[in-house]
Amino acid sequence: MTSARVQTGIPEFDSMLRGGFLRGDAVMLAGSAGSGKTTIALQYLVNGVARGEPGIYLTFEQMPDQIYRDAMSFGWDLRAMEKENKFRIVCTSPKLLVEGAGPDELLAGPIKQIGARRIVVDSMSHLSMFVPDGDLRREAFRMVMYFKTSGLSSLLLWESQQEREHSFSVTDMGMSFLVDSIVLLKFIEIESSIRRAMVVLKMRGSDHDKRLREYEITPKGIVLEQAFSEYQGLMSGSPTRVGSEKFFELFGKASRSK
Amino acid sequence: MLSAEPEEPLLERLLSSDVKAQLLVLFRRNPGLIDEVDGIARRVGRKSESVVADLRDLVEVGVVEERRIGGIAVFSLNPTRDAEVQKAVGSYLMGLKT
Repeated sequence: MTSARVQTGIPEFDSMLRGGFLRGDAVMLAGSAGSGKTTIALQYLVNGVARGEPGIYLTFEQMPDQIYRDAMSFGWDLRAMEKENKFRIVCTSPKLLVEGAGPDELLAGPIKQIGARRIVVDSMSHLSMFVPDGDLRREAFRMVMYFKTSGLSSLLLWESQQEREHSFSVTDMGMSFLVDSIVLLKFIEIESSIRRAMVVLKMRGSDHDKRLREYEITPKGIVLEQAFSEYQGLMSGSPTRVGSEKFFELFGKASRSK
Repeated sequence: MLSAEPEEPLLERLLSSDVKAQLLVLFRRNPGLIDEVDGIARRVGRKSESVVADLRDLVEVGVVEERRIGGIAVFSLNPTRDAEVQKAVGSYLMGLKT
């Protein structure tokens, strides 16, 4: 029986999602360069293969040989999975997806060959560079609907700018409404160190963890740590300690000295 | 099915230019690549006009296959023919040693 949830295979992440993403949903994974989008995406597909759900990695800019190499550094042998018809990398130009008959001409073959259930698009922001202004929303909608009608649970990567102010913008193109879930990856400076935070901004049809969780990129892939509980203003990128703790830090010494 | 073309001229034809060699390496390292001429040229750091002739030659040899997506000519590796060619060339080169 097909599960209603699509597990990422990253245990704490699936807990944040109350068991995983909803099957067939389109999920946007947004973050600035180096935040770990590709690693999470690969882990999502690799764990899918382990669960009997073959996957496709659709890339526009990053070359397959680099993806093979990067995955192998985590112990994920994508070439072996391709030989077993459980995985495919499709590398192409965005133009070929938006012209002609759309995604079907390019993807129908690989989807059928492996019985794909998951797909990653790397990246929607790259697609936006090749689509005329005003057409991105339409073409993205077409793509998302194609994935849904093909029975694919999709993970769409978006390279967002690291905002330094209080406001943050997942996309500038109004694409947030197109997707069912949004996960944001963010760099945070704490005590002169750069740390990584993940938050689920939106998840249609399901409850989810609202907290920012720290995560690390380890030799085994992404690992989630505790939620940031001692700081506030994390979304600004430069948080401060929670008020009560700061108070004790400032005045604790003075009271002890008396 | 193997071409009747002798291996030595085939080898010379495959490696007749740096561009062609770069294209071969590109397709073999990235078997999932399906792209139009401009996209392929960008991926080897060149302009379309400097790769199109060599690309068409690889299509003639059969290592690269051409089809149309939305009326646009796209190119990808033909893994079966590529394996045949590699085997034939490899046998030829091994024969040279003895």
